[in-house]
Amino acid sequence: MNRLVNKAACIILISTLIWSMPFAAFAAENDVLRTNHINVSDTIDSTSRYLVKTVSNPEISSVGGEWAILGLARSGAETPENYYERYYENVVSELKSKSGELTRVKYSEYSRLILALTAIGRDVTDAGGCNLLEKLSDYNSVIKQGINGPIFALLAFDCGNYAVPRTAGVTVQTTRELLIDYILDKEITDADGVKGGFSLSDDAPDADITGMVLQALSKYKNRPEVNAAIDRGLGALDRIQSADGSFKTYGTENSESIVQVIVAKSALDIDASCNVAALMKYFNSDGSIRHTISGGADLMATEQGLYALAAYERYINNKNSLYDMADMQAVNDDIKVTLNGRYLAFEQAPVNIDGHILVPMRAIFEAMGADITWEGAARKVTGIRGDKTIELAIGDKTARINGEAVEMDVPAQIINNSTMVPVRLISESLDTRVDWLKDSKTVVITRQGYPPSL
Amino acid sequence: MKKNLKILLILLVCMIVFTGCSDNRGGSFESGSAINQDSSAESGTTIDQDAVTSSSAAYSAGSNSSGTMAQPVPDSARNAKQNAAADNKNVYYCTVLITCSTILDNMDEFDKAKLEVLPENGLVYQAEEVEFYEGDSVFDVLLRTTRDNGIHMEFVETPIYKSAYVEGINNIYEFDAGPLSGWMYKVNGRFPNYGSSRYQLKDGDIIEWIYTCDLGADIGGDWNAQNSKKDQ
Repeated sequence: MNRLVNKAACIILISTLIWSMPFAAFAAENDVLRTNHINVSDTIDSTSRYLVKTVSNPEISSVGGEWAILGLARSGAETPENYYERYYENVVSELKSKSGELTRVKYSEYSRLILALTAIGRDVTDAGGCNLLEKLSDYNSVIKQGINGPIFALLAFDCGNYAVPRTAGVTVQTTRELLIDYILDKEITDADGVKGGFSLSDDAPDADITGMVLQALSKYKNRPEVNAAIDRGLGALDRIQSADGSFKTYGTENSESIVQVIVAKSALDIDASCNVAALMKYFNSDGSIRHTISGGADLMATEQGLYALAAYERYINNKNSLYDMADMQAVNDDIKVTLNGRYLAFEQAPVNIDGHILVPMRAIFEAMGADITWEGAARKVTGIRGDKTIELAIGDKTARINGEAVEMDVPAQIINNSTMVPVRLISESLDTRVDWLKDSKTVVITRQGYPPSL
Repeated sequence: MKKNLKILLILLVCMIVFTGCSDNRGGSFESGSAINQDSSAESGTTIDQDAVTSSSAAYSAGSNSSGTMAQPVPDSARNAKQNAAADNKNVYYCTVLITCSTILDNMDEFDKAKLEVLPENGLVYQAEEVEFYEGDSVFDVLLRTTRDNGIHMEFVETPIYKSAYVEGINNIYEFDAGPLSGWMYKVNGRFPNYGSSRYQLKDGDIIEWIYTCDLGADIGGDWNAQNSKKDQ
C-alpha cells in the first residue's frame, strides 16, 4: 500500500513540476510575498471595495477622480453598476461647462483625463465635444509645469497608441520626440558626479519622479539612449531605496514613492516584490492605505496603492502593463493580436480578406525584435531577425525566407500605409505558433514551446 | 525542529521587512503622487495626510504627521460670515499680505506676457486689520479679501474634500516663473503645509501669501530645510 502511495505521490509531484515549469519564473518572484503572507489579489479586492465606497461619485479631480478610475479599471475590480458611466457623465458635464478648458497652466490635467477615459474604453477625441489630445499638441503649454508635463503627455499618447494631432495655431507642435528629449535632458548628475534619476528640481533624484520617468520611457527602451537613461534611473532608485524596499522623499518615508517604483519596474518587466512587500505596511484592514506608516487613511495613497497593485498583478500575469491600454482598445470589433499574452497596438488593425487574416508586418516584427527595411522603388520589405532573413514584395504571393521561396495565401499588400502580410508568414518566419480564436477575433502569437495564454 | 525553524524564518523575514524608520517628521511630501495627480487641487488638502506634492507643497498643499481619515471642510466653516452675522458672532481681525516679490529676482524665468500684471515691488495687497469670523479659514479670508478689493484670484476645488488650491492671484499663476513657481501661504511666520481651506484662523493671526520661484526654497519654505512637527 505504501509503495503505491509513494508511486502516486511521485507521479503527481513530477507532473506538477512539469506543468509548473513555464510558470516557475513567476512563482519564484512571488516568494517574497508568500513569505510575508501577502495575497495580491485579496488586497486588490479589499482596497477596491474601499475605494468604490469612498469615491462614490468620481469626477474630474486629482483625488476622487481619475486615479481611482485607473486603479479600478486596470485591476479589473468589481464596481457598482454604472460606476464608470456616471463618472463619464460627470466628465462630459464638466468639460461642457468649461468649454473644454480644464486648466490654464497645468496640462497634465488633460493627460490624467486621457488615461482614465482610455482605461474605461472611452473616446478621448470626443469627450463632451472636446478632443483632449489636441490640448496636448501645444508643446509649450505641456512643458510649462516642468517635467510632469511631458511625462504624462507621453503616457497619455502612448496608452491608446494615439497619434499626436497636428493643431493649427500652436507655436511648437508636440511630438513624441520632443517629449522624450525634454525628459532625457532633465537627467540628474548628483553631487558625487553620478548620473541617473530625475526630480522636480535639479539636486538629487527622487523616487517619485524617477519612477514616473521610467514609466513613460519604458515603451522606448529599445532606443539605446533611452535604455541607458532607464538603466541609470534604476541605478539611482537602487541607491536611494531603503533596505526594506521603501523610499523617503524629502525626508519622509511614504507609500506613494513606493507606488511609483512598483509601477515603473512592472512596466519594465522587472520584479518589484520587495517594494510591494514594503507597500503592504501602509495598508489598513479596511482596505484603505496610509500615506506614512503612522498616519491615517489617505485617499490619494489609497488610489495610488491600488493602481500599483494592478500594475504588479499585470506583471505577474504577463498582461499589458498599467499604462499600456492596447487591451482596452481591443473592446471594439477589430481583430486583435496578442504576442505572448500581451495585446499589441496598431496604427492599422489586422484585416480579414476572403477568410485570410492579414496582420501589420512592421508592428509585429518590431515587437519581436526584428529589424525591418523598406525599399521604396521595388516596394520590397526585408525583415531580419537573428539568422532569419525574410523578403517579400508588395503584390507578390511569394516570400523568401533565407532565400527559400514560401507561397503565401494572399499577397503582401499595403493598407493605410501599413504593409500587411498573412499570419502564416509570421509563424513560418519568426518561429512562433499562431492560433486564431474565432469568437474573440484574436490572433494569438506565442513563442514555440510556450503555453498559449488567453 | 522544523516548526521552530519556520517560526525563526518568519521572524527573520519580518525583521528585515519591517526595518526602516517610520519617523514622522511632519512635512511629509511626496512629489510624484501629487504630481501625477496634478495634485495641485488636492495635494495634501487634508490636515491628516502627508500627501503633498512638491508643487503642492510649495502651494499650500497639505501635509502632516498623523491623524484620521481626512474629512471634507465642513460647510459651517465655509459660511462663516453669514453664520456670524446671523448668530451675532464675534468679529476678529487678522493681517493679510500678498506678495510675489521673488519674481523680481527671477525675471529671466518670468512669463513676459504677464509683465503688465506684475505689481511694483511685487506687492499685491497688504492690510493690517482684515475682518473675519469664527470658523473662517485662511482660504475664506483670501477669497473674501480678493473679491472685496477687486483682485483676481483663481482656485481649484477638490470636490471630495471641498478643499481649495490657489492657482493664481492677481493673474500671476503657478509656473509663471518656471516649473518650481507658485503660491504658498504662511500663518504667523510658519508654513502650515496643508490646504488653506483647513487652516482655522484665530484672532490676531498674520497671513502671508507668498509667491515662490523655487518650490519654497527661496521663501524659507524649503521642504528639506523644514523640520516642522505638525502640532495636531
